[in-house]
Amino acid sequence: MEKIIEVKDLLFEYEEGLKTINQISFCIEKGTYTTILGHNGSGKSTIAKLLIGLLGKQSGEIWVGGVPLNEETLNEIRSQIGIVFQNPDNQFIGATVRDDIAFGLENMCVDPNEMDEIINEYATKVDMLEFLDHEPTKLSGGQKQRVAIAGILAMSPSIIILDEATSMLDPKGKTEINNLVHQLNKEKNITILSITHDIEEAALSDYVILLNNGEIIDQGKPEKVLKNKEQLESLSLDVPFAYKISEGLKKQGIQIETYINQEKLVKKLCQLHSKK
Amino acid sequence: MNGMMLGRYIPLNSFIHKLDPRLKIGALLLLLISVFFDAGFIGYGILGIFVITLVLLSKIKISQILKSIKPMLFMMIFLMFFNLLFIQKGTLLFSLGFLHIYDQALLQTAYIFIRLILIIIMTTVLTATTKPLDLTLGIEHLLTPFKRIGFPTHEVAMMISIALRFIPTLLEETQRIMKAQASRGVEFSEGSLKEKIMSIVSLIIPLFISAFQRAEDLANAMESRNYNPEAKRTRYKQLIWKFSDTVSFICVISVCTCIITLSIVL
Amino acid sequence: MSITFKEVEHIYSENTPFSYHALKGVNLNIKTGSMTALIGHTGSGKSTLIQHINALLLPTSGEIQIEDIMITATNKPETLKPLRKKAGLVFQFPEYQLFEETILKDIIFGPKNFGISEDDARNIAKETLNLVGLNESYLEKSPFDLSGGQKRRVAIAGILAMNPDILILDEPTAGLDPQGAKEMLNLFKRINKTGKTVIIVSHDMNQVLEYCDDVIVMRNGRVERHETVDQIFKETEYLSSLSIDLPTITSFILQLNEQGFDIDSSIKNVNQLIKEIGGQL
Repeated sequence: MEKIIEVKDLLFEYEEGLKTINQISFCIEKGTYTTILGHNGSGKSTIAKLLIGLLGKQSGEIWVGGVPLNEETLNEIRSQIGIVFQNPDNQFIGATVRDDIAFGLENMCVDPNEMDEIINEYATKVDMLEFLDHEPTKLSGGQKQRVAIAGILAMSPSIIILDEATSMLDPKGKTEINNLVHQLNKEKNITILSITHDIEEAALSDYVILLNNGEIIDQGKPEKVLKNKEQLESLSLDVPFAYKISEGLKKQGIQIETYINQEKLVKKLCQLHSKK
Repeated sequence: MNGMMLGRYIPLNSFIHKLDPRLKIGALLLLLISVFFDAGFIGYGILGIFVITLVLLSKIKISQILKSIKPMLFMMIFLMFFNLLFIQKGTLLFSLGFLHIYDQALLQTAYIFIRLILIIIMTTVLTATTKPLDLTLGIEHLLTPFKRIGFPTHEVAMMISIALRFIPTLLEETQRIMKAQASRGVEFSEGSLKEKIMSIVSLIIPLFISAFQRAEDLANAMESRNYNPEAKRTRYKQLIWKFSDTVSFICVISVCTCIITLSIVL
Repeated sequence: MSITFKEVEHIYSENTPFSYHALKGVNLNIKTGSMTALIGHTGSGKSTLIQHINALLLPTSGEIQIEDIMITATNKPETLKPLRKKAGLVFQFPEYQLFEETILKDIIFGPKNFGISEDDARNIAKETLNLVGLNESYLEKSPFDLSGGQKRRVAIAGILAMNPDILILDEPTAGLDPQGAKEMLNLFKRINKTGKTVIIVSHDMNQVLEYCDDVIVMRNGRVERHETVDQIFKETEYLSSLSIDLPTITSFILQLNEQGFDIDSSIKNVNQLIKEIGGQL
């Protein structure tokens, strides 16, 4: 598999001696869905800002698509990575949905005559076509985040970073965004890096990086990382629901493996039930 | 904030709405200048009829125009009152103790009243028929000549459009913080001076903190979408000057010329 | 303290082009000492409703009775100040209401506005700070040096310090991590146990199931349901028509039941569920 993001010995301090990100290294493979999991204040949002060069690293290396991140490559890398931030209101730049999607296109010097077509295409993709002339104050949080995604897609990135993009949304908005992102990951092969504290979201991803106090505690497939209950709890994180159930059943003497995926657990339980 | 009409865009589909923002801004400037030429009541009559025509063409309800005048009413009465008392020219109409009212004062005050009303209505027509973003775009275009002397036209336009974009958000925020502090027993309308200062502080500080937070987030969002104020950018919104714009421009020019000529002749 | 709404209507910016009918004929009776969840979509009228309870908003018509205080459209604002103390309202992201130089000053700001002496207020501040899980060493610190979650606790302490009989919270756990959210809800449960009425606006049905007694469902400015938690989550079709997700545990049980299990869907506790599944295998 091709590595699309490579981070080596990354160090970042907001203040001298206060290591927000402490010598971390990880790789993300092209087309995967990776989650960086950690509680508030673990340094996970700082990583996102470092990856797109909004913050300057103290030391270490970052490569995106094989290109090392530095002053000269900043624009190139930013056109490869799109980022959705936490607060839906504060990243809405245009006066209307239409203008907001156009903002990135303007920066890329796209011919104004071609913009309408692109805007319509991506507004349709995120199901916001009928809201093109709406102002942000008239939209829900979930709708604003969808516009943010459309704005990013219009710039055709190969990676999308979600920086707690659903943490301020209601469940409906959350589901919509999650579905949309999974769809983009599968159909368009866009690499997703989601920064979150939602354990169930992590359970559905391909790769999990567990972060605490700016250090990587563990990383790997969710089946490996999310089954370490003591570790998750010591980091004030939840344990997946399916894990709780399957572990509890094990203790009752039922022959079942440990699950982290609810769907799979339901299937297994029903299988066991029908065999009875 | 609720029911505030001054400066608010009213989405309608009228002849005035469709005009080029450059024309509308230019016309407003010309009309504002002519308002200050003293062309007597005939001049104001012509201007008045012209402005009323504009209002009718824009399909804005008269009641909405009146509402936009309302917040300025206090200031206007205040101004007029002092004018009446302090202009001491012409013949004395009547006096009451130390108050003396002269006929010239009455005339001048009437002029000021008419001017202010005309200015407010004209500005309201502009803002009610032009989307804030189009206004910005118009201003940016009109300022282009100043680019040569190093005036940051694009940056100024970007600043204005972001300010316009965030005004409703910040108004909402202000209301929310006021309500949050009211829930802690703050009364914004009453109390001693000390209490009033305290209540303002309890509003302003949170508002600033949140505005700075928003500014930082917004800057990040803009940068991450590859915005660079110095780099070349294209513009999505293109202004197209139509025949109707030329005709309207000629109309405005003739009205203004008429007023100015009148004021010189009279 | 019982809260009663009678035919309450609320129209924002009445008689303007921006007029908006936010509450339509709301009738409600919230029992003293209950812990009630208020659910419904953004724009369903939840925020408008809760702002009537401490009279930040007055009804356009209808009446609201909070113990001995009656709120109608014609109330004079000064008669309503006692209500602000009686019903403490915590807005969404309350950390944005902090403004004083020290945490102590910020917490006593509310009590002082209601005429409590500085010394008494200080003692109250210490107690409430402990209640929200921060120790006295924080009193002289600046609230702006705290983490997001701690700021929120201080802001909530500022409301609790007024010792309200009713505590209303608008999405108090939004943006918190799971651990922070859990601690926050346990705090409200403790406060509820001391006999205070607690009303929580929430989107998280897991929280509603675990912590609340009653649920009020709003849609398009109307109160459509006011039932116990057990009852509401039985109405799966109704909830899905509102696109409200079921609590994880409830939807899990329903999925199993579809495939031949027979489990009581009102089970709220994971351990009990495990026993039940184990028994049926």
